Amino acid sequence: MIGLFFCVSVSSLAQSTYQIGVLPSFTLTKKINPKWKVNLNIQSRFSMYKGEFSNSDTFQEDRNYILTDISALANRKIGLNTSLTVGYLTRFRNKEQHNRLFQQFIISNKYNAVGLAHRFVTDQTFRPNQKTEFRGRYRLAFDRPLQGNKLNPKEFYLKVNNEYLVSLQDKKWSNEVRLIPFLGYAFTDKNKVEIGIDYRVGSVGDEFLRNNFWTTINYYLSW
Amino acid sequence: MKAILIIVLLFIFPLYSYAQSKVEIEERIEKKDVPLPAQQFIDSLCFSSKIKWFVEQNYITKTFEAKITANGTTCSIEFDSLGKIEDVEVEISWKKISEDTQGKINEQLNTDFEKHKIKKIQIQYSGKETDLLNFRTNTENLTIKYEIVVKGQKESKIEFYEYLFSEKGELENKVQFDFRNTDHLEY
Repeated sequence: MIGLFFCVSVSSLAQSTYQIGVLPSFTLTKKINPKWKVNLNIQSRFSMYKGEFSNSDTFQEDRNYILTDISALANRKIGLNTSLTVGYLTRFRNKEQHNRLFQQFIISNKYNAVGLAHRFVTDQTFRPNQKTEFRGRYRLAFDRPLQGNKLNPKEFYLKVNNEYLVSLQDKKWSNEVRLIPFLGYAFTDKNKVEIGIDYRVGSVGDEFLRNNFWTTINYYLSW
Repeated sequence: MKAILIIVLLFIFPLYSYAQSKVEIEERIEKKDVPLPAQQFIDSLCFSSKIKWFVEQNYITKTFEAKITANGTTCSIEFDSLGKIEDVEVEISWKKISEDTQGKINEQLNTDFEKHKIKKIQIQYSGKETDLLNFRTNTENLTIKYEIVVKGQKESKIEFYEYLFSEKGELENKVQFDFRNTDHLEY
């Protein structure tokens, strides 16, 4: 699947653009009781460079603040390995505010040292003067400690996210694939930091492919 | 007198807490850091697969463990801090346990939880070192137990437990694991 993802993106390099930037995010999770958790996330995007793969002369600095997302989620455990989440996200971009509602179904499992989580999402985005955008998303995330079979405090871990998105807006379909390898460090079980490269490749109509490379820094704090 | 009582209680409380929950720190180590008797035991078993060594420490004990995966089966061989063999654990499927024993284990888990899911089953062999050397071919003189990791829900609370059952399915021990936080995988 990952191979196919690279084949598609590499074969389309001739008609594709790229953007390189930074994507820091901060996630706070509070466990209310054994069934319920609430979660707050703040994420910003800053671009650094941009260009076209087919023409190296187009490479240029593009140091700009792009957007900030703030989201709030409520998560309820519905089974031993499953949970449902509903959430709201507000996006501040170019003096505009976009609103998004989302619904998630998560299955998480642990197989010896490896943790696996499947996340299925539907979301609806509302932008001023535009038709509502509907998206379906599936993400597979896995992690494993780099020392031993159990992640202990003050140890590193590897995490990889692979996500597939389809979007429908005003009768137009588009899609995106994301692959994000992370190196994480656990200060404690509930306090972790990760750094990785968030590679996103998406189609924009039938015209060209948009590639994004975000240096991602995630900080997770739970209590 | 009061002060002595408080000090005694302060010592007893952590030990009591330990008995109820399993807190272990596991670290990968090199073969050269393992006591010689443990190295010799593993060498004499002539495994063709790669052997990974770990040291496990909790508040009271330190053990060494060799993990080997061969033909899709994971085998863990545990030694004490001096390298003396303690037991051999081999991962098995639920179907490999006799129906009578399955029934007793299920009875215990159904009593303990509203819902449960078995996450891992290991058959545990213990006995004399000479008999353990032949665990792959002859288990006649070995004591057999089942170590089972269970994710269970009781009164809305979900926790991980490690159970130890005898060969006949009688409960011998039960400890609770620390619940692993998975927020970084889910959000």
